[in-house]
Amino acid sequence: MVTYHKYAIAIGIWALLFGASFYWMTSREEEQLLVIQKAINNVEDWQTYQSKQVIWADDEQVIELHSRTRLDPDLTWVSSRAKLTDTEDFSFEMFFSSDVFYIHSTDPENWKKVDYTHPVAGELEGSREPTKFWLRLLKHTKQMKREIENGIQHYTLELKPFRDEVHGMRLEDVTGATMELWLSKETLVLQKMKVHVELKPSITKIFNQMDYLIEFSDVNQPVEIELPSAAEKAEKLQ
Amino acid sequence: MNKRKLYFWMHLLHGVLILLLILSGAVLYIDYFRILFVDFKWQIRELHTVIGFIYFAIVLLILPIVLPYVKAHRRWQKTFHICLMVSLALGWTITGLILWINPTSYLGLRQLSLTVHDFLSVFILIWVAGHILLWFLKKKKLYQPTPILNNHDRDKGMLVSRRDVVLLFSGGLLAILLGGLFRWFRPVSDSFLARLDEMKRRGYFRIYSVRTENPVFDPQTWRLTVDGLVENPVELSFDELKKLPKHTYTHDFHCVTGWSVLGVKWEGIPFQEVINLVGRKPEGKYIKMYSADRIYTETYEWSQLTQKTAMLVYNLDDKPLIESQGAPLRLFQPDMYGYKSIKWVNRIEFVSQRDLGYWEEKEGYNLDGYIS
Repeated sequence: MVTYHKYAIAIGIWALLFGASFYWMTSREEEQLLVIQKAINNVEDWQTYQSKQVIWADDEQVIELHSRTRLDPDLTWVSSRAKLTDTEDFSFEMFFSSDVFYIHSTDPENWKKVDYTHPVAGELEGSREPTKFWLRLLKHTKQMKREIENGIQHYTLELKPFRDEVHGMRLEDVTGATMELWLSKETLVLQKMKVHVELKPSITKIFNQMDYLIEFSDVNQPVEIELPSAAEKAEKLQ
Repeated sequence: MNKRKLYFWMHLLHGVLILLLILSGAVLYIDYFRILFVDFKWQIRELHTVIGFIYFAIVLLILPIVLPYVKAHRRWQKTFHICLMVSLALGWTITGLILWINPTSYLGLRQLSLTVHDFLSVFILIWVAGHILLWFLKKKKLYQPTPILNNHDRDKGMLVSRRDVVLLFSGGLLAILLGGLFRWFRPVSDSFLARLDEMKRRGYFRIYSVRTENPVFDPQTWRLTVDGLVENPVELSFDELKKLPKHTYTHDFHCVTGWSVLGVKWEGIPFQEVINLVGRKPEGKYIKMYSADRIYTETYEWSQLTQKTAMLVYNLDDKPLIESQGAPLRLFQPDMYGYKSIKWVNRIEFVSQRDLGYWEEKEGYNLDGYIS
């Protein structure tokens, strides 16, 4: 009887150690996800970079953004072009400084100065900080795989259904999504990310699938960004 | 050298090496020392690593000498102590190696190693303190170890043998190894995803509304109606409402779609003031709020709105709400997602049965909307 008690205690301790080790250890896929998260977070520490973002709705390009970012002194230029109809586009550019940002449209020529506490800021700031959306997507990972091709780490993440929005496009009733990332193998510098989103077909929706691509270039290379002098006369958006 | 002397020197060497590791580790671990020796941080780290390697090599070298010692001493406590020291040496060495290599591809493993390495270092301090205390008490004859039980006593209590101790430690180390391996090959877990940092930003509100045009606030005609199962239904103008006791505090706003606005200053009337004003009847257990857009509604249990921070807000970041933010009045319940913070509130009804709110009915959102 005594021996049984003794071994029961030993088995209990082993089970406890097994459980603790299982609980605190991370899995290989979780480690890879942390690497991806770190690589995306690192974008905010780059001194300078350029990016190109394109969104397709049902294989038709609807939004295109180009940006140039410099950390010190803090200034980001974003040029945005959105498709309105088959023949009409809407374009504008923005300059984000540390305390305010400027919106410039050319047709007609117009400059606006906007506080970051203004309601439109939440929507527009997404174009200055494109990585936030991608970081949120990581939280919906279902499974993932990694391939290494010519010194590039290529991750493919299958995502669970989620609800979000990007550059004014609401993503609801998502049935599935696939996210891809390309990182340089040694330095873990993010090169591009792509997501393909499938939406539940509905007559009230204007698109049933969306693709979003972001590519980075000229990381920590000199970039030219100047706030045009016309911005000084910009009217404040109330 | 006789065996007794050899064991004494081995014990001393082991103790000195651990002391050196604890001291150099403390410089790397404790903020005060880290700042004091900031210019020598890398040298101290290298020194700590070298001593660590020497320590593990010596543990391996003296093991063949220690085994006959364990065999010669029947007391299980000695076996336990030696097994524990070997396990600690293994734990420090494995986690120390991971920290030394510092693999950038295994950030979670690195963090776990750091935690285990630090935990073992704190544990040894407590163990050594107990070890020294026992030695001192024995020396002063204040403590006598229990005599070794003979075969006759074997069945009278739980006799722990040295074999049991070795089995316990071997099984324990195997359990830790297997637990880790099982986890390593598992897919991404929900608990891990929940622990991934929330993507918060100090941007500003993204405006969601269910109609294309926002309700317009006219201070002359605007009224807040509070009715239903209450003792004194009221209709308040905006000026009358603002005369009620107000409360101001700062809290983050979280949208269910994933974005957040941090450090928002909310100013308004604690909802409890409205309850006090109208006098809730016992059967009025639920509250239904209506938006001036005539579409959006939300429902709550009355007890969900009695905390002082559940407020009818009219000022946001020291400025009156603007139209798209729900002017002139919106609810804010800090524990719930933004869709529960109904905008353009113009009617509050106390009811006996709870309905679904707009998004609960349309998209199956959670009825309580608590931030998970």
